[in-house]
Amino acid sequence: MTILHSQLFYLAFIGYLIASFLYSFGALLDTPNMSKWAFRIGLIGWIAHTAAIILRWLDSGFIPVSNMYESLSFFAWAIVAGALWVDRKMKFPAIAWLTMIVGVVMIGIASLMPSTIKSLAPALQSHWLKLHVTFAFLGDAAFAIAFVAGLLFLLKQYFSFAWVKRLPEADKLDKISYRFICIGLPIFTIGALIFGAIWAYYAWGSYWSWDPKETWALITFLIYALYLHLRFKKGMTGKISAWFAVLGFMLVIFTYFGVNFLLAGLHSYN
Amino acid sequence: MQQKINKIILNLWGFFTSMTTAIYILGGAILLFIISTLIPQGAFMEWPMMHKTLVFLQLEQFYNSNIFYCLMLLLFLNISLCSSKHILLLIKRILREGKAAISKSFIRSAGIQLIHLGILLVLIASLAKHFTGEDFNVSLSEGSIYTLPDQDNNIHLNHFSILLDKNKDLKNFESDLSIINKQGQEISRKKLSVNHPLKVGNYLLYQSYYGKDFILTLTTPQQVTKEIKTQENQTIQLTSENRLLIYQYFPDFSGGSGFDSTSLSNEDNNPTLWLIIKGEKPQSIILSLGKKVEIDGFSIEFNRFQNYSGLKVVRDPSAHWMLTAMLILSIGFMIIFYIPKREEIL
Repeated sequence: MTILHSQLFYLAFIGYLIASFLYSFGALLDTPNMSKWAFRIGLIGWIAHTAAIILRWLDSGFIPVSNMYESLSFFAWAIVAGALWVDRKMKFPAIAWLTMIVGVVMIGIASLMPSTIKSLAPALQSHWLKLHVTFAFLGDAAFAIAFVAGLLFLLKQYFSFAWVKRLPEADKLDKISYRFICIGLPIFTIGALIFGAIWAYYAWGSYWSWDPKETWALITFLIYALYLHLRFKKGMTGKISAWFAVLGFMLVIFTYFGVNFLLAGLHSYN
Repeated sequence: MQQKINKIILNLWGFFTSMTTAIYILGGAILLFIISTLIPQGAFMEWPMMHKTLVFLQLEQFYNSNIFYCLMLLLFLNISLCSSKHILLLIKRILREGKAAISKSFIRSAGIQLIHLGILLVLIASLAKHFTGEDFNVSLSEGSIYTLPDQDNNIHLNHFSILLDKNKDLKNFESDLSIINKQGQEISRKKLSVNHPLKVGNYLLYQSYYGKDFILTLTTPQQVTKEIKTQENQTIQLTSENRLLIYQYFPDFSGGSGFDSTSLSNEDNNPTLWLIIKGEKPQSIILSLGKKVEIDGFSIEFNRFQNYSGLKVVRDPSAHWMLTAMLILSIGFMIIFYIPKREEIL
């Protein structure tokens, strides 16, 4: 089962990689057919990825989000799901293109991590693991799409290549970015901060310990809260709004990688 | 005079109910929290000037600093007054329009106020815990007893076990505890493990950590023998110049001089200590179980070792407030998730 899981994982990786290339051709060369094929291949990769995650879950006996390999794999899975959804439902292949690339980067980094199944650390042996980590990453995936929409908005503002001109209108990109922040913030807050705090109470005897991971998750929450306050109060749209979406996702990435590698704390499990 | 006071109150009301103030508070909080994670909390900085500056600004104990308390106070005032204003508006709307007032925007606004209310409760519960709660760690060896601060109950550690998986990696650790009353009678016997706290009276016990006590027999040059219980990273003063540091424990010693040594497994197959003499003549020593070494006329024997269980003891009268706050926050977020302020895209 472990070998099959690995094979499906790499199949997903290759599928996402091909889908990224096809999306790139579709966006850069204005060939919508390429984007359609990108979606199909991306979907095949995502189904393989889903199967890989389920197999690993069955193999280990716990939800595979307990170390960097597993959590990055899940993060990539959530981001690609978002990319395919944006393409299919919202008809924005350009956003799906860059989101897919973010997914490829995540699964690529995951492939470099040790994938051996080990016993779950005692602190992680809780049902809260499922809720806390999956909700946090689902929220992060929504922030990834908001980031891509913000990035495309900024590209549209600063560059005038032919393919940049073909991107959705700036106003639409701004609203997509806002919508995904509105989707991501409640999910992230409930998962990362609220479920995390309740779990911390049962595991460590304190809802909040000002651990670096907790503090950076709070900073991420605050930056998006600031974004929403500025949008409601000051009518903030356009460039500043896009920069906020980009900065917010940078914080998400730092909360994950930066805190894991640079700042030791209660969340050091890898 | 009365007019002046009224004007000041109005200005303060205007300031604290303003969303602009909220924006500045959020921005300030983000900046300060970032700084706090970049400065090692409670640690001593290498550079004296830097250390003095950080101590002066209270940034090395940021979460106990006046800056932090001021920030929280501002946040509390801003959210409470701003929410009061908006909740009053919502109530007025209901009184004026009746059922017709309950539109999507009304529910969304109520959701936002629930979130604010939840944050306020979090702040109040944290403050209550700060002043009325307590938490501390207790290390218990097998067979030892600890009396809880309320003097009503004693905790007796019957047995502590470390469970390893088939690869000899840590699977779990748990304490077999007896709760003993004032009269010395066993009230109950429970297993305590991580994620499953145990309520004893007003306290919650958590399985937090574990370690090993090393029992060494020290014989001085004057032939005085004493038994010393020590742990990793602890030091024993030998002479005025020399100290003995218990640097590292290898449960399954691989051999070598310490620097190039590892443990072959987590099992206590070859228990060995790596000791370092600190002082005039620094020295590295390997000492296996049952063996003896001579240092400057001192004789040190590694007699035995025993596991100790690390418990966290918590008394938090505000815990249920915090749980209520989490519930309110979750409901608030679910409301705004399902009824967001839509901006049409397509």
